[in-house]
Amino acid sequence: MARITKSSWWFIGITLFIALILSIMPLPLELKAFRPDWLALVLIYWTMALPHRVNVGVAWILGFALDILLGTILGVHALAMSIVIYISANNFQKLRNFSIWQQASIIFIFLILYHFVIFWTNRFLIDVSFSIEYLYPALTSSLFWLWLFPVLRGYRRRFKIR
Amino acid sequence: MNPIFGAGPALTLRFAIVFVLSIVAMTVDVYTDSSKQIRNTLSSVVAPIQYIADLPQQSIDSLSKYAARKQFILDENTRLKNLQLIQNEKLQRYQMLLNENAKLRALLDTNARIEAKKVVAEIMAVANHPFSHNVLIDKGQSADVFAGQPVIDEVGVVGQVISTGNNTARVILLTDQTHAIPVRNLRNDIRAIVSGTGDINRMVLNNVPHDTDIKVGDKLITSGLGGLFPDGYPVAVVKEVHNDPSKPFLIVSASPVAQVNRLRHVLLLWPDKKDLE
Repeated sequence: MARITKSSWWFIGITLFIALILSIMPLPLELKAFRPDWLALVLIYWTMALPHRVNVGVAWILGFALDILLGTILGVHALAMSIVIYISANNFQKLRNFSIWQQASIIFIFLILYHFVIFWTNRFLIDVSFSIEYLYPALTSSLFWLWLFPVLRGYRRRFKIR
Repeated sequence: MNPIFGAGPALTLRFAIVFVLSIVAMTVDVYTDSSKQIRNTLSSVVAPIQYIADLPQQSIDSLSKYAARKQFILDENTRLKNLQLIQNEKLQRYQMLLNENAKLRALLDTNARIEAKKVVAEIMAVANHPFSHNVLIDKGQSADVFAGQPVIDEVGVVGQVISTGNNTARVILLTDQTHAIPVRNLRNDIRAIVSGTGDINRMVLNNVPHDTDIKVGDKLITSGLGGLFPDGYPVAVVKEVHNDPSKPFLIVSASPVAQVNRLRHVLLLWPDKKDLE
């Protein structure tokens, strides 16, 4: 049992690591504003599928790592990420029973919230001004969910991650 | 069978803990100076991730170097040779001016200027967030990079180092919301502070009185005040001057000289202490 636990952590960790790299991977200037929130998507998936493994603790640590990688104020992404994951972990059973399109629209709303939390904290701390561009990633992320969800589900079933 | 995940209070408790942790982290980061140490340590820890994320860009770069046509390289070679000729001519006069300047300074009994140490660093093509304009460079503490160090490119000031890891350092750009730099007008030596707006092409001059002589097209260079940037490097060009009598100050916006959104290489300066005084 202990061995299974260990190896499943491996499998989950790899996907989160890839998501973290994709979140900071350089993109052409024109596409930069549309970068999906890979880390948030992958975290939401694992919270939904295995809420006893991945929830706010992991989300906070990875959000904090994202803060360091992006050079933003420490704790901003961590806070936004843990709020979104807290809501997902509280409603994981409902989320599981939704169709993939419903999930995508819920995730769209979650990520709007995510970006607003980042904006509000920045607004409060260093007085930035709002631009609708900050919400583009929510749209692309929910579109990417339609692809990512089956992929991650297949991955979880293939390697029997529990 | 996994235990049913129904421990509501446990989840809420966890959330409360991380919520408080985030608030503490933000407060410490924004209002105190001690976060610098934390950032320096942690950026060394995450550096491998950044190097991995940078790999595709690096390999495309080296691949395109291989694939470059012969004609293209020959053209580039001619162009660079011409450039070298023009710059050499300028350098000859520069040497003369340097000597003259040293003599004049000796006459005035002020400190002579000493050539500062410079090192070229490469920008690691790592993405950043629109709220914080900064880039990562591939030199760190092991190359004596320090926080507060001025960073320039071939045309002007880029920004300054804010945190250093072992082999990486983060450079905050002029255009960042939280960055400001003391400048003077090249035309008439009027001093001002230019701060970033979060827009890559726009900076603003703070607290400029209504009767100040400042025009569109004026070049702003570092004033050497503030003790970070050495005197005389180009910073920005005035783009718009708007005089609204109902406002307490002139509204002046400028755009940075350095092309901060398409940097590949930057120059790190080790200014002479005397030069900054």
